[in-house]
Amino acid sequence: MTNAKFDPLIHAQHRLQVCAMLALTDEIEFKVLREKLEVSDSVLSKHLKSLEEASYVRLSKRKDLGRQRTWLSLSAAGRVAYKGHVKALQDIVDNV
Amino acid sequence: MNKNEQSVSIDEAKSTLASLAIIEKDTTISLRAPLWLNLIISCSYGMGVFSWATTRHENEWMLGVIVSAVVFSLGIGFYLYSSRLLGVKPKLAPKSQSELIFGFILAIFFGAVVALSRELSKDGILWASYAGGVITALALGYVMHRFPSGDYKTGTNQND
Repeated sequence: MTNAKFDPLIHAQHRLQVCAMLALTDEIEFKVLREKLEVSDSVLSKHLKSLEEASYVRLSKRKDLGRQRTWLSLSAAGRVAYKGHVKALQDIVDNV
Repeated sequence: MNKNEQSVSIDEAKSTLASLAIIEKDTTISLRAPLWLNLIISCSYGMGVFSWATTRHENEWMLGVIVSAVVFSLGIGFYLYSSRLLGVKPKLAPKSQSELIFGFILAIFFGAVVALSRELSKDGILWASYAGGVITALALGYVMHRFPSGDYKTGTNQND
């Protein structure tokens, strides 16, 4: 069972959206994430750096099909933090 | 409720959850295999189950099992390869409790249908192999379309 825990680091809109997308997949490429969120490289990099420093997101640069690609995945800690944050938001809504 | 939670209003929490639902739906749709590929994978699986239930001591239906297994494996391989090209890799193993429960229920369901259709068919109830093939093909097609993330909590709704 997921424990509700509000996480201010994840609560920022783009960071929350990044976590939501990564939680459903194994890995997503940086370029795809940027297009889905409709943000610039620098904005996304900044958000990812914050998440990476908190060990919520893992970045992996690999040469794939002849070109360099950056893949992102949610760590176990990130998955727990994201689920806990969503639960905390649901608790706020439920306590009307 | 801690200090951070107190600073989030109910309306803000609601709108955040609504935007998350949109993102989850969008990501789930991008994880879906195209319909033609879904049909190939689910039909080959159903054909494999039918062939296995009908096989008797290496008769010609064993060839059906082999051909179905090859087509099914190629379909899955193509799905994973195209997902990698598109930059969104689906999960191959459960990563949360709900995914584990969902995977376990599916494994029990498919295992039971495969075993039952074969045993009933061996007992002379020949329509069981047809039923097993159709049920597994429909179920796999539905699961692949509705729950491509492998989590019943994030399945897309019927109006997609």
